[in-house]
Amino acid sequence: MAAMRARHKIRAPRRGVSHANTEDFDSIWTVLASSLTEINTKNASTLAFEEIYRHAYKIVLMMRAPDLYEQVKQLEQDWLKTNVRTLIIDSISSSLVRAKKSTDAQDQSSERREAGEKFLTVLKDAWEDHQLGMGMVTDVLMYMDRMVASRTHPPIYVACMALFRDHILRAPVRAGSALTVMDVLESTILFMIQLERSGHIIERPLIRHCIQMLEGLYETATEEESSKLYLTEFEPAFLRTSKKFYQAEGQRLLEMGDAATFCRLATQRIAEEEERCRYMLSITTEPKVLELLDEQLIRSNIEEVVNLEGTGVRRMLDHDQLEGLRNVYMLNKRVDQKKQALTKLVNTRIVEMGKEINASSVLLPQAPAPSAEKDSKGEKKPEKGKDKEKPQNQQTVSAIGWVDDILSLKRKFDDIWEKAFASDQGMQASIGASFANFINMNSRNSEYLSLFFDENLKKGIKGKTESEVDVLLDNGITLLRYIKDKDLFETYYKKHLSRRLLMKRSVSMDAERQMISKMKLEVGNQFTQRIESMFKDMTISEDLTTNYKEDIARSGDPDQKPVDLEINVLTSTMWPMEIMASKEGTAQLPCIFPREIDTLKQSFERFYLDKHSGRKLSWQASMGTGDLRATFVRPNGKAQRYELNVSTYAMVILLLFNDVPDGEGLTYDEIKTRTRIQDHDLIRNLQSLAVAPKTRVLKKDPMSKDVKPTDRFLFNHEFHSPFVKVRIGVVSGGANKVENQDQRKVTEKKMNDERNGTIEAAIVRIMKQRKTLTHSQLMTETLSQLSARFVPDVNMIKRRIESLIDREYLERVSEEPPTYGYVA
Amino acid sequence: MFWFHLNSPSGTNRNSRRSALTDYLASNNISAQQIRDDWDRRQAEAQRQPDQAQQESSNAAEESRSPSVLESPEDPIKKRKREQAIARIKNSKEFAKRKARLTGDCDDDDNDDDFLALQIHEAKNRPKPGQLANCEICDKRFTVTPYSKAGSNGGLLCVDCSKKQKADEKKPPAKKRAPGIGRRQNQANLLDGLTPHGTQTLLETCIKKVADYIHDIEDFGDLPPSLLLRLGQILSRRRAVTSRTLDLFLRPQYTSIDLFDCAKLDTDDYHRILASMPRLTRVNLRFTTPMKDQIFHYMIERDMQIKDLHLDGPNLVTDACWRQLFMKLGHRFLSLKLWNLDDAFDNETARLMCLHCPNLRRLKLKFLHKVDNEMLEGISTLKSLQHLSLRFLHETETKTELLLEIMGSIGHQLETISLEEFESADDRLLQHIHEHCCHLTKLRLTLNSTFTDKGLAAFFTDWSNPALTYVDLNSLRDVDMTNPTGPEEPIGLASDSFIALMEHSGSKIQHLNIASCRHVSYKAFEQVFAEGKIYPNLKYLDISFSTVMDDYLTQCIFRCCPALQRLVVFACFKIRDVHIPRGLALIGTVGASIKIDGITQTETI
Amino acid sequence: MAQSTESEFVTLVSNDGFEFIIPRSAACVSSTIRLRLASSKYKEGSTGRCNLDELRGAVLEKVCEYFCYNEKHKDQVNVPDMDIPPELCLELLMAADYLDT
Repeated sequence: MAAMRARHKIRAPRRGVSHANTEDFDSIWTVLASSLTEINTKNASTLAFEEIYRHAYKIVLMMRAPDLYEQVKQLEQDWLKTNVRTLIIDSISSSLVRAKKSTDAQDQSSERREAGEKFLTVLKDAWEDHQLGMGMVTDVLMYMDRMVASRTHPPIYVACMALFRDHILRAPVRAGSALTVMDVLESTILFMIQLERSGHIIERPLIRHCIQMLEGLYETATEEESSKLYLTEFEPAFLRTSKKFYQAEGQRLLEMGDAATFCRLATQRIAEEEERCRYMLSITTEPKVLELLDEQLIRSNIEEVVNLEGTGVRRMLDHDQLEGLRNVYMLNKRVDQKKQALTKLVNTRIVEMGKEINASSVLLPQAPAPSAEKDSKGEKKPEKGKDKEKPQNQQTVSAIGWVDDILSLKRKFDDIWEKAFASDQGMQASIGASFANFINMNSRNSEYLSLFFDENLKKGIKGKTESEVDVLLDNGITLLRYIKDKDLFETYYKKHLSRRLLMKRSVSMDAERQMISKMKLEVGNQFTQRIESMFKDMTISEDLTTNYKEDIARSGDPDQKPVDLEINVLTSTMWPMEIMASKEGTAQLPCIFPREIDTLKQSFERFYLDKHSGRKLSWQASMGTGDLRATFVRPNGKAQRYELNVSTYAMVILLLFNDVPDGEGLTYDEIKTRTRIQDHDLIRNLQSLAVAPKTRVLKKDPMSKDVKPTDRFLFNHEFHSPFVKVRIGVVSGGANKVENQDQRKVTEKKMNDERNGTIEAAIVRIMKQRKTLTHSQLMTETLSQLSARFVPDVNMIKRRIESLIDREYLERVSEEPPTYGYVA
Repeated sequence: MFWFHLNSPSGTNRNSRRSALTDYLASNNISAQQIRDDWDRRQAEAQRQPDQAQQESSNAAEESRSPSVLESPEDPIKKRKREQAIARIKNSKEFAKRKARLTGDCDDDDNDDDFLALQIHEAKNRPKPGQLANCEICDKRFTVTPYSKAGSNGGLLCVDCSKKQKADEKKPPAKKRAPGIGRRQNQANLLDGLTPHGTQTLLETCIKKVADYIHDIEDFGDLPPSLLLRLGQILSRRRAVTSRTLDLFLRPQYTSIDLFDCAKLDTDDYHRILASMPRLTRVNLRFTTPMKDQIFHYMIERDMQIKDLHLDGPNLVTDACWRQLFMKLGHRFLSLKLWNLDDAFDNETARLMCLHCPNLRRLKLKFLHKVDNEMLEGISTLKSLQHLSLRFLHETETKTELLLEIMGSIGHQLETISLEEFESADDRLLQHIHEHCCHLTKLRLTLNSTFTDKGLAAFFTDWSNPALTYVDLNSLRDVDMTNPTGPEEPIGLASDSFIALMEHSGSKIQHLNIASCRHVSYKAFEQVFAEGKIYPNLKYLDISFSTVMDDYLTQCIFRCCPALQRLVVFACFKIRDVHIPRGLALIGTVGASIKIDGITQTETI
Repeated sequence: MAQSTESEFVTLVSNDGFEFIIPRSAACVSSTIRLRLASSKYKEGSTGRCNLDELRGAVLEKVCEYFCYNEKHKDQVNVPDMDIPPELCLELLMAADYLDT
């Protein structure tokens, strides 16, 4: 078949357009022009698309497309000029033209507003008609567009849009006037916005439509985004007036003198502008107008607002005005990522409040300080013995109070931070820094905090749920975070912990363990190592006790009176120094135990050394307790039995009285020689046995509060107690309390010694690794290694370096810059 | 009755009849040539031994199994007449051959030739409308009409049989492409930007068809210029622009002529173009080797209103003639594009060109053998120039300084800069473009190994020129073969400058060619085509020889370039398995598995 | 008016009066026809009936064939070109240009 067709010449299809000249350009154009006019007059629904399209097609085939293009443009231009323009110009009332001059004409606002709305409506309708009409024209002239459109000829639609721009918007309002429709449009919209800013409700959709018109028109035929009339004409004017407005607004609000109101209104303005841009103007304007608002309204005023006397941030903080704070925060954040104005004030306020807490905690102990001072000197004022305990207790209370106060302050600011400062990271850091700042102003912070834990672990957590305990401990840990000298805290904590452990004062071992793990998380492994080993010692000791008991039960001869022994074997390096070291320092001989006890002691030593040969056990009687069963013979002959729980020393003392006939006593010196208990401990123990009102197992002669070497002690058969079991504490020995000045000095000295060791260890560690290092590098490294534990004094480090050089661990390698080398 | 049996295998499939028959014959080792030879031989024998003729020829018919024996094989005179007619058709009409070429690959040209000729001959001998004929199938007598269908053997069919046969024809309308041709054809289509799915537009289909039948067309009628241009292109590509087809393009009322292959035209044809299209303002002729001075003289004499003159290879035109042309008509020229001149057009001519064509907006000079740096000076004086394209011969030493001068004096007005193979132009050129040009939309700087990555990055950073739409920076790279990774300080378009380029022009860019910019790193591609980046207008991207390109990056590209139509990836061997969006042509993959909308096709090498 | 816009089929009429009823979606391959039917701004939009006075029946038939061919093959790869009778190709080319197809 294909071959058959191939015979025929293919003829051009008969068109009858260019050949038959019956229809020439003009006649076709006449038809076309009338159709286009129909479209302009919105009469198109009867027109057949095909017909218009075909006419245009024919003209294009006649190679007259450029002519057609020009004709169409001309037609549309004429239409706009004659019909549309007059309509619009007529709608501009003279009030609009006049108003152009005076920007602030509140008096005639309603008249102007009405006229404006009328004008905008007419313009909007004209624009929409034009758009619709041109859309239709474009559709039917598609063929022409395809052939003609090029760089020199934009699509007909674009060309017609430009016509609207030139012949409507840029037309003068009155003949010969420089004022154009565009100018009136601009001033009218700006006037409407001004009305809205001062609280009136305006016809938003209408303005939105006019803005859309400006967004749909371009300066150039290429229609770049940046050449939108909206951007080239309207937006700059809008920003200009907005700038002026907000300059004035800032002044006005500031003059009202109320920070909260300022912030509330400013926040409201921001929301208004956002909304305005979103629903009325263009989303692209939003950042620009907000930037301007930030600059004019906020940045230039925020500092003043924050610091406003009586209504500023200070007052808001004091009165927990979260709403106000939130606004300040939001505003400040808009203009300053660091929120300096706000941060600065918050920080100052925290430190102020913290100082107050510090001061109140110092105030209490300071008043009775002189008496405490005297007390420690000797027993000159025995009558004040009772009072003596109080201030110290009070001090402890105030220490705990200090912690509680800080915690509540922290809670307050945490709350503010979370609710008003949007959990801002930067704010959190700076609030933390402020807390650290004032907490470290209190030199006893570590001790106070440790006491706080001690108190809570002994009593505070009784009857609390697990989660409550958790919160409590967490709070304490937060404070720990702020404390610079963590090693000092460790010292105190160990001291307090050892008492809790040995005297079984801890309410819950679980809570203790929890505490350790929390600390571990917060401060690190190294920190808790020793504390943990204290716990380990305790568990091992428990096993040891059981094993020993079993051993005795197995091997022991049944006749022997069984004495229950509960023993704690403590690793000397891990436990607080003063417990271990106090006796070594004085090289005192150990106290003489009564026979029964001594046997027991020897039997345990045998048992223990059997298991762990080469170890040395040193007995710490001062830390122990003993249970005694004492029989008191009443004058009426009746015997009253009590079980007494006393310290080991007290037990030793009381056992002496077994060998003393009734009615006879022992003098202080006798007791001292027979027991070899140190004065210090002996006095305290005797005080608790003979002086403390409820636990007078001994009678003292003469009856006074102070114990003198000449005093005599008798067994007190009149001892009476409502309970069978009586616990006799050692005076001022049992509870953990705030140290007095002397103790403190001792602690500090020990602390310094320990620090020296730590620093040296760090230096040697660093140097061993690096071999040679300049002075400054060594300093920095040392500081950074130690910072987790404490903040060492630079001079201290220098002295340590010197000392290490003296001891030939290090050597000076060079002077310029000063450099050290490691001596292996 | 014998014929019926013979043809039944192919009779049911009329459309594929020819090829099926050819195949059938070939598979039986029979060629039409052989049949004809046999026939000649037998005819000669028959003339010598007329009494044996009848027997012989019937034998021959039996042996030859050719449709040519269908009609009265017993009449030797008739046979001879037909033989002569066939020969006449074959000699006089070259279309039979053309036909064979157009209708696809055939194993044996002669075979088809004969067959065609035979067919035509048969068709000619059919009864005319109004006459009576016997139906080929049912032998019923019926009246022939213009609509009567031809049967499989050339005879006509009655109305009933036509209908029956029409029903049989409901086979696939076109034969499937043979798998072997597939890849070649696919790649060819891809290069034309045709994506392998969906149908082509009716317009393209028709244009191809018109081109197929160009020799049967007497007149294009009212085809609009845009279609003429397209036809001109397609015919040029098929090398079918000849004196005869040229007539179709000569429309007195049209003002432009675009022919991309004039190699087959002679001097008279050029005359005809100018004479029959007196209103010409645009003359765009390529491969114009036979063009001579007279043509220019004609233009000059007639004072033709030519504004755009684009000529490729008019080598017989002398320098004197060029100069005269510029002097007489140069003032009207708005654009001038010249390619491949080796014998004429020297620096002096170029100087005169710049002098006499002050209104030039567009100037393109490529491969003009006799011009070099010297002519660059003149370009600085073209105060209306907006588009400048230059490419010297490879051997020409180029000097950066002269280019700097051009940028300094006319850079601010340029919209297009295309400088190819200015091998040694250095970063100073970039600085000058950066400094002086602020209206560029198209930039082509290729084949250069002197620009540094740093220089290019600085070039695109903080450039006052708005985003470019067309960027061709292919082959900006170091060419030291001994150092495949390139120097420490990257040469050419490398990672930093690529990132800077996309930062600068990403929003508007439509066409980007960075083929052979081999120092762009994987990381840079990853960064440029990272999630969230979008190049909304990019339609064409050539990243050939970017060896880091892999499947992942390809998908990243598709994600970032929603409008992409063509992606060229020659020598990107790591592209193995990609899923391409509809409407996109991926060009240059080798053996990659490509998925489009769930359809898998594996290309074979 | 509204329901005819919704109608699934449209009628194309040639200059010699042949009517072709084809699926709207297929016809809309032509942007000219698509625009024409898109809105009820013009008559065609409301009637769903397009007079194509430039095309004679034989050509319009081929055009409609193409519409359907295109619709049918739009999701396939390597679709062969639709067969076009050579004698119609010029006219069809004009039609394709006219219809922007």
